[in-house]
Amino acid sequence: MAQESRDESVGAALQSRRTAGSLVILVLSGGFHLGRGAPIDGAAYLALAAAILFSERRGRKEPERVGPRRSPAVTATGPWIWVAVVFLGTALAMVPMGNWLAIVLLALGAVMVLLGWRQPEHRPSPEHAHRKAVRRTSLAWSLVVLYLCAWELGMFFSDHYHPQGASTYPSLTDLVEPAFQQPFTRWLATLIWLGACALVLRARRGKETADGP
Amino acid sequence: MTRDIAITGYLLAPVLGLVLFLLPRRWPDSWVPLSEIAGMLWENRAARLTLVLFCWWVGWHFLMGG
Repeated sequence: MAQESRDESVGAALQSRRTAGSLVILVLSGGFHLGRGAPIDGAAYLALAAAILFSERRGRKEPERVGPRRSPAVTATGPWIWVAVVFLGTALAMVPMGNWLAIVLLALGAVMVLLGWRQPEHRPSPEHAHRKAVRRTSLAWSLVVLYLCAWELGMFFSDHYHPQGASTYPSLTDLVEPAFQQPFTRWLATLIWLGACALVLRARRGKETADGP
Repeated sequence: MTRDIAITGYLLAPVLGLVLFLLPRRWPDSWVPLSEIAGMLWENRAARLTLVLFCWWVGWHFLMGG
């Protein structure tokens, strides 16, 4: 009983720390995009941060009303999602850059956030002996992500403030963007991107289904 | 030369990722698979939505021309 209670409090502390960390990342990203002159990108990050903050505060004030509502797994599995990825990806790659493409992409982002908002089934936290391995692995992955962010930021600012610019200090955008310039590679890159988005959204559902009764 | 170093710096990240991906297969008691870390992050709405937004933003950024 005491162990269960302790596990619950550890779990709650971890959840709260993850929420705070995510909010910091969202706000920093939003501020960075506003600073680099990309207001829609910045607004998207800051709007999500505001929505999460509002939802968390509301959840704390009215736990019985908002509470940890758990949603059942979405059953849109099978090949249909990949057919949709191919159709949508082909359509998106054909739309010329401009307002229509922006509207479609923003709508797609809103749908993705709504799908991600659903709270998955609760999974039991790992045993104490296993926690060390989880902590070690989490730290190692975080360091890799931080390293990539630091490198990208270094290139971004060197690119901006160095006279030789992007050719000497290419940011990830400078390296990847050419793939989005030619029709075939743009189509392929769009499919890969949409496929990755589908995998991210489906990964959670797979876990839910596997853990379910 | 500087450009090569810059590109090598980017390539180091997926190489490190591959190492971390393979470590749990060799030492399963000391390292856990990425899917387990992702599963724990998924439990938290803010972390999950941050990742979802970042995935969307990548497409937005490149399809709209940076």
